[in-house]
Amino acid sequence: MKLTITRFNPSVDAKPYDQVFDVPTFENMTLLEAVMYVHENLEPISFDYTCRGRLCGRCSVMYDGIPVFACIQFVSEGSHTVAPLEGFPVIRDLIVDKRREQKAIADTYERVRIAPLTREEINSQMTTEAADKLRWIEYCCRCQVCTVICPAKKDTPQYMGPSRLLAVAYRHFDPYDQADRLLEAVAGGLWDCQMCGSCTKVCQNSPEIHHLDIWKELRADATARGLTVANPKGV
Amino acid sequence: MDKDEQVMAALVKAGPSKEVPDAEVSGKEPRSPWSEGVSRRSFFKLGGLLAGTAVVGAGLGGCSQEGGAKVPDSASSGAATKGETEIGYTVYETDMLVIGAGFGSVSACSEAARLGQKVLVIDKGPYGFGGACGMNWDVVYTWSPKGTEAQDSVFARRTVNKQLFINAAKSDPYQPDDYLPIINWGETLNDRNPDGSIHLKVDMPMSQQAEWGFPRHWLDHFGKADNITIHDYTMITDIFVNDGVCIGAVGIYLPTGEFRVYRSKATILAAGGCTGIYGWVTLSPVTNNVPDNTSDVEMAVFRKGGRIGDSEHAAYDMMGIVPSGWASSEGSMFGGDSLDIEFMLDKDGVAFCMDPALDQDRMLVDRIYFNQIVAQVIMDGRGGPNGGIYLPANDEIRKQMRYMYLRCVNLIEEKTGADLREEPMECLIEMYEHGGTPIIDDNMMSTEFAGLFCVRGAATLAEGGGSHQNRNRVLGGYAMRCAMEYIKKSYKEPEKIDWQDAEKEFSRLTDLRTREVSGGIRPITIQRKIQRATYPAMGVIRTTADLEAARKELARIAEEDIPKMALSDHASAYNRDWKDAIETINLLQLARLSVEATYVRPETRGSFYRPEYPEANDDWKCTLGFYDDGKGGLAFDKITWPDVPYPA
Ligand SMILES: Cc1cc2nc3c(=O)[nH]c(=O)nc-3n(C[C@H](O)[C@H](O)[C@H](O)COP(=O)(O)OP(=O)(O)OC[C@H]3O[C@@H](n4cnc5c(N)ncnc54)[C@H](O)[C@@H]3O)c2cc1C
Ligand code: SF4
Ligand code: SF4
Ligand code: FES
Repeated sequence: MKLTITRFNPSVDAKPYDQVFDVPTFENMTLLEAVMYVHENLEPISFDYTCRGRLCGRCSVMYDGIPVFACIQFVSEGSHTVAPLEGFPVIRDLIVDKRREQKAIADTYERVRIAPLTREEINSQMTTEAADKLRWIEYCCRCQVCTVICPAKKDTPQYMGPSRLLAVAYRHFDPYDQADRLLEAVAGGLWDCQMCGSCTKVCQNSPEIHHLDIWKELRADATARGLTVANPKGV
Repeated sequence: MDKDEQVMAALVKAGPSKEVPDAEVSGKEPRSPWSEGVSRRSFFKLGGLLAGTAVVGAGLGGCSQEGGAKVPDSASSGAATKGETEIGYTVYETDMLVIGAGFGSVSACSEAARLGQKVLVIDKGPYGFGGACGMNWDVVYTWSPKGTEAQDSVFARRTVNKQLFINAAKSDPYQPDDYLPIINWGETLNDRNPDGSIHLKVDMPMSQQAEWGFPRHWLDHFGKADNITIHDYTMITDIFVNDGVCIGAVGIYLPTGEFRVYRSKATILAAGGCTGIYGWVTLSPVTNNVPDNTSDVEMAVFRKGGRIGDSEHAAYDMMGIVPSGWASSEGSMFGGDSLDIEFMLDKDGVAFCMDPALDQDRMLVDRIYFNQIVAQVIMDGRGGPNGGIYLPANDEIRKQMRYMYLRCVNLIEEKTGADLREEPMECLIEMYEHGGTPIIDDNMMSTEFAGLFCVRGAATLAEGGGSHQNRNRVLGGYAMRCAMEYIKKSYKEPEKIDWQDAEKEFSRLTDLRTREVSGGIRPITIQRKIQRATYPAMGVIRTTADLEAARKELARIAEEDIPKMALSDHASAYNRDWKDAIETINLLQLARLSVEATYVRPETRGSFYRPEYPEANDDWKCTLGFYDDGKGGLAFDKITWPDVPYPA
């Protein structure tokens, strides 16, 4: 295959540039393997990964213009492009700096409580229904691929975006959390979401995470509380 | 000290020079949001106080290559480093430095949070995404319901330094004995009984287990704590030593290549287990552990004259390896264990575990015995093209499979179109954890470098071959208490700090980055050779012939290849070639120690089996502390520990 890699060293280069590499392919070859081939055999490339299996999101890049995990994206013959994940400052080549957003997500995930839980509360306050909802959100690896593609985030930049909204939903469903997470969701743009489903389409952990179902449930709960807006999007 | 003061620094302004890290030239520096509140202006204010420069000239590479099998610190011989130049570095100061942000670190931090100790945590990866702990997978948490002290024999069985565990237990008012703290650190542990109570996967008097643990919540929780400052994307490459005392660590801020000195009163090492020497399958060694753990700090301790133990011990599991890029990954592969023995096949479709000559009951309870059966089949040439045995994902297996593996089966089938009921997966024995850590005393402190505390120190995990979450909680917490005690009782502020120790390391690193060699070999090429050479010797069956072949090839790599190691990329900003070079030297050293520490033991011990010496030998019931003999070779001490009864 002909793999065009967007390269950039922000402290030296005036702007990013493209470089084309010839990469021999094999059956079930992943994009990460193709980049590794270039690094091992042709030229050093700065790229990042750790888990090799959709658990860390560190390998996420744009492949032919679509955000993917390089580790589970199979490649094919022909010409293809790989570029750093859009919307984040480039550290070097394919490595971007997602830390600001990741910190915001991490802070959102922090449980809010007046006092620590006791053993009795742990065992009496959880329901299997709540546990079922929480369980699947756990698989969000916070790669932010969904936020990159989200049209609401583009139209309404103050919208917190799907990866953070999932964190809010997680704590809303968590019976141990005592903060007003519905208010947080609505203030963060729950009604700005266009309900387009693109987040689920690009999410590589979509076997577990069904964004639209979660957004619908948040909206239903918000409506029941009267936390609505005049012109909700995507209804 | 408050948070701002805690991380105070002096920036050494070297005159503009092409060797100055790019960031200082460009002024554009990716900053970590986790360290916000650290005022960079204070560095300039204090500039005069800690000023110092390092001069790098040809031949001043901090590199000693004395022949033999010694791994050179750097790669200098015959290489020219471009002209004289000055190197700048930033100094940060903290009372308590923690290296690594995985399970061990977060356990140490939980203790720091409880006791109000301020800490500065360094991680090589982005915070929350580093190490085994930073992968978002379903962890099984295990604990002894009676605490560490009374009934911890499940965990302590293979520990050699039992006194250390007694100390750890006795000093711990909150010994891990259930899920209470874990949930208060943000987990929901959502595998529940119908009444909503926690479902225990294992519920025995000595041991309980719960599934669906996602330790990223811990990292969120402690990352937000007031007393914790985080510097991520920072690779520690050396400890900072003055007069034999560890007074911090030094390393590189990877995004810019900036050199950093971390000045601390006490330093806790929790940089994970390194399995990076065990083979290679397109993207990873034969391991589900992570590429960032390359034993950087442990091997720095060795280079400085410290002793390293337990590198012969590792922990193994079975995981699928095809499609190759997903080999052994916890997120895309499934594997088998002794519960699946009836389904495991050799290349001719024979269920080899069911051979009447073997002890099937023992396989169920003895993971090591089971691993050896599988390894023997592979060694007998009954494995597939990659040397693996076969496991189908048939309906019975799917029924008992944990969800995290079932989703991997689904992924493989969806992406490759294979039906894994019909086409069994080729599986290899992967190394998921590994020892190879500094020798420590009963108080977690390095026996050579006062002030350095090691969560995974030698003789703690010992023959167990590696850590797990429970060990990390016990030992991480204890390491923090010991380090705090040391600051209070033993630490003496040096009258004058000698920065040369750090500057020597920066010279070595700069030399590695800038050197040019005719006929140079890229570090990644050498790294693959190390991994391939070590793989046959570091499995669960280690023949003398395989060990000897590995010794020979590793010595050859050290003598012939490392001096020729040179980069194609000389930039400072996230330079993967440079990172590879630093890691390659560490991997080679660890590989050499691991092979050697097996080779000298005329016995079978822990997870490894030596066909020539099939029994354990009580004369070798000890920790081997390997050190540099100063003549290019290795020497070791046999360290024995008092045989105190444990559990007490
Ligand atoms: C895939 C997998 C599954 C496992 N499952 C379980 C389980 O279910 N239950 C269980 O109890 N145990 C499990 N274990 C075993 C064990 O719990 C983990 O390996 C655990 O993460 C070990 O903790 P650690 O802190 O030692 O290392 P890690 O969690 O790997 O953390 C090491 C940290 O050090 C950092 N680091 C490395 N080098 C440097 C450097 N030079 N400078 C700065 N930072 C550095 C890394 O980035 C990382 O953040 C598993 C291990 C693996 C690999
Ligand atoms: S929801 Fe999916 S795409 Fe979005 S951050 Fe989580 S794992 Fe990534
Ligand atoms: S459904 Fe909402 S959150 Fe998801 S991509 Fe569309 S607008 Fe964004
Ligand atoms: S490497 Fe972790 S998601 Fe791809």
